[in-house]
Amino acid sequence: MLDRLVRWARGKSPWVCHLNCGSCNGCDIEILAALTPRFDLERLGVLLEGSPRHADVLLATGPVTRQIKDRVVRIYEQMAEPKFVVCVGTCGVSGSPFYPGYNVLGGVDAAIPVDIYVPGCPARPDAIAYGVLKLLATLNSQAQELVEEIEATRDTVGLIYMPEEIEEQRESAQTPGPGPSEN
Amino acid sequence: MTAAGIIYHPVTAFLLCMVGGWVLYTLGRALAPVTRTVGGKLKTYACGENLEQDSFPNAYDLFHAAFIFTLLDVIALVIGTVPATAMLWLKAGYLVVGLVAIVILFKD
Ligand code: SF4
Repeated sequence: MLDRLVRWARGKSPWVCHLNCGSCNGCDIEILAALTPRFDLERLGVLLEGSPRHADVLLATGPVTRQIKDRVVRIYEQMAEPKFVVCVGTCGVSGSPFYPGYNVLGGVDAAIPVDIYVPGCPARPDAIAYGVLKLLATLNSQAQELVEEIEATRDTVGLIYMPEEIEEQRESAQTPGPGPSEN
Repeated sequence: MTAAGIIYHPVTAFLLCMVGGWVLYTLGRALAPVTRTVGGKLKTYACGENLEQDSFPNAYDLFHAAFIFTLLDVIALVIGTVPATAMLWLKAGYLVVGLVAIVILFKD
């Protein structure tokens, strides 16, 4: 009973904090687009919060640079439990196109664990909204219904990736191809 | 004293508020996940920066004046909204306590 109450409360008011790890600002603008009335994530109780101390979800954009890494880790540690991370944009997913620059360590998961990956350069606001919804769907039945409706009516393949899918993609990218034929 | 008199008495209200606060706090504590005090968790939040000190001198020129007027405003608000039937010595006592607090705060 208490567990259900807590899940309900968490799912109804996820506060997000936006962190720019080194992005070009393209994805940051798209986060604003996802929050403001056209895509309106706020209708699901999502609120943009200034301090990670009060936030449940960290929306991280941009590649992790050597300079920002300690700060990203510290900010993640300072968030309240339980906490989630959504990385937004191809930079946040893999560090591309800046990786492997001399000062770039990679995507956001080079510093902290990530729960949802939203690719795109910049990530589309509907993909960001879908990513946040997918996260909320684990806590909130209204978000779960919305996700099901979206998946039934739209092609959502490639809009977001879960950590296992990213892992698979990375592994397959490292697998050598068939190689030159011996004949 | 009647039953209503006891229930609406300021001391009863104060005790009820204390109990309510304690219940809320205990419930929150029981429901919250276990805090992990790793790394910078307990450090002052400073946009990710690693602050070595926890306090900084304030440099507002008129801070003291502004703070005194804030306290005076609060005292005036409380005294102004005390019901007319309240005892005079209670209002006077609040005023005296407020003024003593100001003197203690700013005696240096
Ligand atoms: S993914 Fe593209 S738009 Fe987003 S921060 Fe990186 S370069 Fe900018």
